[in-house]
Amino acid sequence: MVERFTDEEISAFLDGEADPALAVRIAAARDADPDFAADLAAMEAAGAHLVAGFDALMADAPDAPDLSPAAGRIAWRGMAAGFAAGIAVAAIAGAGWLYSRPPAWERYVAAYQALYVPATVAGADLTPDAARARIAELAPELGIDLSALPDLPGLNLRRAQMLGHDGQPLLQIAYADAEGRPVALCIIARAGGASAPVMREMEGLPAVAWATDAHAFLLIGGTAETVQKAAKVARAAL
Amino acid sequence: MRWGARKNAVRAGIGAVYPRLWRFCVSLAGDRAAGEDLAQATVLRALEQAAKFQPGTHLDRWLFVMARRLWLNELRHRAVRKGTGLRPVEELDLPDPAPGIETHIFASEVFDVVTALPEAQRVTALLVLVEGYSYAEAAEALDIPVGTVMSRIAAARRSVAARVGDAQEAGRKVR
Repeated sequence: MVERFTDEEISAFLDGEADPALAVRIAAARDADPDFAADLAAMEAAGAHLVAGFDALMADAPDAPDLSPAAGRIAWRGMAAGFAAGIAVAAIAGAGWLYSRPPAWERYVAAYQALYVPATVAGADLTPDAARARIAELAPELGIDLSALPDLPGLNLRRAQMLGHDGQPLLQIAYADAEGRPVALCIIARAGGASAPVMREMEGLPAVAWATDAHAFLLIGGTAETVQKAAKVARAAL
Repeated sequence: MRWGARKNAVRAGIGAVYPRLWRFCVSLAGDRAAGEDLAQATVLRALEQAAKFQPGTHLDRWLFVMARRLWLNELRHRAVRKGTGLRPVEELDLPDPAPGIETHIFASEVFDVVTALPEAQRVTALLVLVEGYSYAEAAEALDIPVGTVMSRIAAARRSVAARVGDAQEAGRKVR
């Protein structure tokens, strides 16, 4: 018999607030019941829509007031001019980072990437051609065509490998920047709807995340400037 | 720590936090003008009360609690009287999305999903889904039971899921 769950239980599961026993039961039901899996995905996507809505609102956030003692009195600068949403959002979010909570797979990728050091990618012995061939070989597992993926500015292709998250294939394309710092483009099949790029700091690394209808992307590592530029190119091509 | 040093800690920290404080205030007020007023009033109150700020704790969270208190105790009534607060969803002037982004729902609905939520669900969703509060932290910040946080988040997700489902259905029919 298929177990049913309340919206509260489903939400708690998605927010990582379910106790372990409940989480196990929900995961089992998801695997056993396609209807429940679809409902769970719809509830997860709903959360992503809300995050996208709130993030987009940030694009119009006004400048912080000038609070320096020299200003004498607070000089309000009024609303910032309507800012195109997108990567530019990050630039006005104070220190430059948005604070929305990234999806679980991104958090795992970030934790993994944080363990990388220059030697991790320096040791990759694939030639760029061989790495591209490997990408072409792996991409179909995600149902994506990456033949249009161009060279990314400031990044040297090192290798591609298949990882997994929660039973789903996760393609990691590893690069090194000009200083040899590891950078990765990670792709997962995820029908959560398209979303504009959001920049964050994750595990101390700059990261840009975006999504198409069928896939989610995370470009992480190196410097903020490099990942922003590279994400723009990658996103335009895919 | 001397008062002046605390005041400086608050003053120095507000710049980085202000856009998020503004978003929190707009979410509370459901209206940009009222939200902006609230964000500015919160900053002024924060400078007055800087002596109470514990350096090393979260300035953003301290400001959010202060903003909410100000909103409930003072500004909300004024905004309602002026007719600027808590307006119907259709009148909210939230921003246009980035052009050229293909979403599987109509573009404006990206924002509608936020504004369509009742105030209580909207603020709770912001804290948990966007600001990364745990349910227990959100309960403390909003002064409500954890169970209420859970039911608000669940209700917010369910109504957005229904809305997105309807939009997809409508989109299919249009095509």
